[in-house]
Amino acid sequence: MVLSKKISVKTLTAVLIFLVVVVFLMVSLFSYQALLRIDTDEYGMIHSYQVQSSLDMLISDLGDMETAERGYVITGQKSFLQPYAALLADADEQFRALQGSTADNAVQQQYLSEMKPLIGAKIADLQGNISLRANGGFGAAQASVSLDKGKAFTNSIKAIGANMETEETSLLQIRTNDLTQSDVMTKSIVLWGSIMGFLLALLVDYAIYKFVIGEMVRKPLLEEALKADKETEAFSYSVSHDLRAPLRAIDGFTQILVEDYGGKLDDEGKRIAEVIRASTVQMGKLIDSLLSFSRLGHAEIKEVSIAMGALADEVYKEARKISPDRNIEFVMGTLPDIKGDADMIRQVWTNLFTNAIKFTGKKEKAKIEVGSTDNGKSITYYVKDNGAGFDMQYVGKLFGVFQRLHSVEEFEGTGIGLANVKRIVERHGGTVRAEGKVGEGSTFYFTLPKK
Amino acid sequence: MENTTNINEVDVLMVEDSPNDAELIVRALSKLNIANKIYWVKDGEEAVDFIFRTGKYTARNENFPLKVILLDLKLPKVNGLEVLTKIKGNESTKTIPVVIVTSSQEEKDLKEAYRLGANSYIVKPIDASSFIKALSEAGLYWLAINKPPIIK
Repeated sequence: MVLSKKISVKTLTAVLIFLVVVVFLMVSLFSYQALLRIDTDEYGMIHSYQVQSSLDMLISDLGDMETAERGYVITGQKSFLQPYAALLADADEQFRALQGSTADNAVQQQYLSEMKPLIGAKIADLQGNISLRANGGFGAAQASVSLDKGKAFTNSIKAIGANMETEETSLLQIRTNDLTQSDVMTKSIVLWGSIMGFLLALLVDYAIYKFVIGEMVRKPLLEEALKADKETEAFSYSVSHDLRAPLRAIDGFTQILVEDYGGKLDDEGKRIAEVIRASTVQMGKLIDSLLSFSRLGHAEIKEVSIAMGALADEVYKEARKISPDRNIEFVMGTLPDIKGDADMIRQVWTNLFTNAIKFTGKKEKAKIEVGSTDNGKSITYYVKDNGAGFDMQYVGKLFGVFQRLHSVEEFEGTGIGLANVKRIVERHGGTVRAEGKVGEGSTFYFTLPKK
Repeated sequence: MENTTNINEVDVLMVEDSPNDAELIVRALSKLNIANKIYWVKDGEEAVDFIFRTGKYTARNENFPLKVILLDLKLPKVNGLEVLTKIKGNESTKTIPVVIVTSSQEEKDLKEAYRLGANSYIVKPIDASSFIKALSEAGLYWLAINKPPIIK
């Protein structure tokens, strides 16, 4: 299970990294494509403007040339013809520019090819009138100009020019729309792509943290814990199963001996059989104690909020049933609630109360007192009795496994109770301690951290 | 302890690897006068053979249904939970009451046994008197009080 989990985290990380790369690659690709398109559109728009301006210039050049021609025809002064050559050259240049900037547009090329002979004819007409004035004088030239042949050419050129402008305007509109659209699209792709990539990158970061850092810290601990857990489990199983079986046989067959051959046994024989049986029962209890102690070491702590006052009260009443006839004064102080495993903390109270009741057994008037102190960070609970007490020089042995300060004849027990208390409290991050004086009583404290 | 019971007249199949426990169980049940109806098998494999009439039990008469199976969990070869799975997974045997009789107090075993369809779970007490008492009460319940379905 651990292995498959490890692999899946690894795979997940790899997939996430791959996704991040793909997302950023796609964003880059889209941006690049969008930039290219914007470039094309802008280039196209510049072309449109160029076409319009060239057309305006061409028509204005032709108009200026006509003005020059008229001026010369009327006055005969050469100075009027001074800009004519430059205008002619410019008109030629504008026409070439138009051809160049509409090279990719068949419609415009068609218009230009229609316009070219008209321009030629218009220029030829102007040229003719100028020649007439120079060679034949005012009269002939004036007569030719009066025919106004050039007007038709100019109108046709202007009409074609207007068509071309319309064409360019619609192209410009399309290009502007296109540019706006691709601009919006590019912006959203780059924005959302980046957000997605960023989120994925965060996930990768988290996965790497979980996988690499988590693995480094947890793996050995986890494996060790699992191994220890398995060993403890196998141990508990074997203790609960295998160690009990022979005991039951000893007890059972001793009983059969007494039942079936009782007649052949004298009183001493029967007493010995009883000792055997009592010992097996005691051994059974020891096995159970050891088992419970071992289980406490690896049982999971299920933390809940515990109403300590109610719990202690309930446990005390239960423990009191062992010896209902005794005279015990029970004083209950305030016990603040705390977080912990309810079943385990119940065991703590059970052990402390049964001990208190047990060790006050020889007192006429027993007194058991519970209370607590709070230092802000943790709460210390205590159970105080006026029982047998103990010698403080053995305080270190009190909480040990199977350590007893009294003989079984004096006070019965297996010696596991306080070891369990210590184990439970320590597993909650707390501490235990005890104070006592022989013949005067003892106080057991356990401190649990506030969470 | 030897099996003296006719394999075609078995009421109680006892699956138990410890001869001592087996003897104690027989002693407990003998008070119900059914000692000659108990058949003892020592491992899970033999239990499966007996129940499903395979191996050396092919000749067992199928018209004599078992009234109860006492099943230990820790068994050689095929363990108790595996035997239980086979019994409860087969249409012809799933209605036979199975009482788990084990030393294991592990909650894991308890839960798993019930999950697999065990009808009862008895923890063998160390104290032999309690053990004999528990077994004779269980025997009384499953053999005299409980009414099993008629298996065809």
